[in-house]
Amino acid sequence: MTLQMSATLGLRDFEVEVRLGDNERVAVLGPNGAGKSTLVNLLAGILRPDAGRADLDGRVLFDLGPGARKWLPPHARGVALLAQDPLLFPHLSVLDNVGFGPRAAGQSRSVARATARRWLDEVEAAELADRRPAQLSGGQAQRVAIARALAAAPRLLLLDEPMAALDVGAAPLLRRVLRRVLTDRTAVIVTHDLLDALLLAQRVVVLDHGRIVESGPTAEVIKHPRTPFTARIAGLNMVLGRTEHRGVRGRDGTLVEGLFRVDMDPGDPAIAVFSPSTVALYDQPPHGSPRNTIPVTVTELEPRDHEVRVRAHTASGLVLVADVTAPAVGELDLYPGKRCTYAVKATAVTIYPA
Amino acid sequence: MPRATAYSGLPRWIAVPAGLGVIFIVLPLAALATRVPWSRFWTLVTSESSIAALGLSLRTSVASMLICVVLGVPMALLLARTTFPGQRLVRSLMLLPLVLPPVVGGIALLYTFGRRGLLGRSLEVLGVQIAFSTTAVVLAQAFVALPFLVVSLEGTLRTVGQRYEVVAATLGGRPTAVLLRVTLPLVLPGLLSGAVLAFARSLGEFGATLTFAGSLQGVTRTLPLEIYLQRESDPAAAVALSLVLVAVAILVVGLAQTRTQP
Repeated sequence: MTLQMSATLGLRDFEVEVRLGDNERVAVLGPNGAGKSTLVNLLAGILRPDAGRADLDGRVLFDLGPGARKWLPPHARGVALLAQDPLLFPHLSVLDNVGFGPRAAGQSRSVARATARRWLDEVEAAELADRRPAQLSGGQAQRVAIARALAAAPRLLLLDEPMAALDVGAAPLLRRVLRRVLTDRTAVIVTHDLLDALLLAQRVVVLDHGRIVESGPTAEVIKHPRTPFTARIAGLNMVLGRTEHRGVRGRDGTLVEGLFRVDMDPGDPAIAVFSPSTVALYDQPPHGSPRNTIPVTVTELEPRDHEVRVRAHTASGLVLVADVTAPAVGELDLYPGKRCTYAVKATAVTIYPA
Repeated sequence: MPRATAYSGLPRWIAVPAGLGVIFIVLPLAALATRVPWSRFWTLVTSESSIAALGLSLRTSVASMLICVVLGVPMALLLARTTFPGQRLVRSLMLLPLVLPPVVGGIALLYTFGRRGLLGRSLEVLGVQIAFSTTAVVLAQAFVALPFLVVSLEGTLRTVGQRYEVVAATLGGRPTAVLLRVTLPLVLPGLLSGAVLAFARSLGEFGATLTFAGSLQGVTRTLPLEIYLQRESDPAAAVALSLVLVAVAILVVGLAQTRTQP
């Protein structure tokens, strides 16, 4: 199953082109309002673009624009949508919920139920067949919703933050089930969770303001993000700027030295990234150190498992994050508003072209 | 089911006007009950004219309710689920019978279906005469009752939302299948209470019926008309029949309540 889509939607300032290869799964990341749901809704046929064309396996989903007026309604597309909310039909049993797609495709009640049982098995929910949706937990309902989507035999599966509404306990099982059933499928997965992108998709597309700002193999995008948004969800500090000496001079003036992944000329647009765990904090700028030193003001302290995440900004407002131990917070007497110095070894900083 | 008492945040004095309101509704009904000639009650309500009126009322109200369902469900669906030019105007017009004096509705119907009416003349050529027939009773009732069903169902449709329908469509459900297997089952409580309301409104219809259908025993004289007529000659009989209508009304409202509160 291959998918190609290009679409523009003026009302939402959306202009995106995506391509999915056979059995390829793409994770769509992006800040709120970036157009992730718009992308999904365009593919599902819930939204109509102003212009554009999409085909799935050579079948035209829509072709709109000058001289073209083709539009396939949602039920004829073979595109199933799994949303954040499982939306199981409350008046049908779990079995008949899952059998809805097969019934709609013309199967008899008994055949549809057999199909439904098979898919319930697949998502480890066989024992829920006779229940009503109201009797399910959030995780169970979402697994049933997956079975229902798959039972409709879709060519393309759209997942719109399928795990966002689940409690932490239910997510691992659902993730495992999704990882299994998504093998050998073409899917678009909207998520804000890096882990989902890594586990479920081979490729990542980052949307912002209705445009694709970044895309590539998941591992690569996470290691070398190109946008502040991606850097943030990848958990990395990012300095965007131009090369200078042995580092990057950020737009705000901060100079960060590091290791160049490729040879670059001075003045080339460049990105420097470093992990918050490589940052050390000092009261006073350390002398005679070969490290990058960045004066910052602490804005926020957030306790995490065994550490404290320090959020601080430079004089010009660039936000940089550091992970330090709890005792270090005490020794340095950190509090929001305190001025201190970040120190990062050049070997911990990766620099690549922007 | 026992409920935990939650803090309501309302000032206590609110209970006074609210209580007055309840009394305002209940007291007249109680007054009615005090005047019921209990000794003659059974004879009065089983008299030939009473039975004829009650039977006619029930038959015509059921027919009117069915018309309201057949026409009102598609109307509510279009109003709740689509946008079209002039929608606001159409919605306002549909609600008109709610606020219009029924007599005016009756006159309007007369000038539509009556002998010299807009459609009446053509209908008469076809040998169909509607005014002052049982059909006229049903039309008068449906005219005033239709908005009740449309308003009730449109509200339910909006509350339920379109999300289930969208999911059903992406699962391959064609529009008709989605309507029958998803939309209508989901709004069934609203549909039932709307139908019950339409039935109740039909049962109580007076003005439009009298104007458009007249008052012919067994043909167009429904229970409210019979009560009005009896009030002139035998007030006790009118009271007894009123009580029958009150009982039917209580039954209907109770039915609607249990349906809408699952």
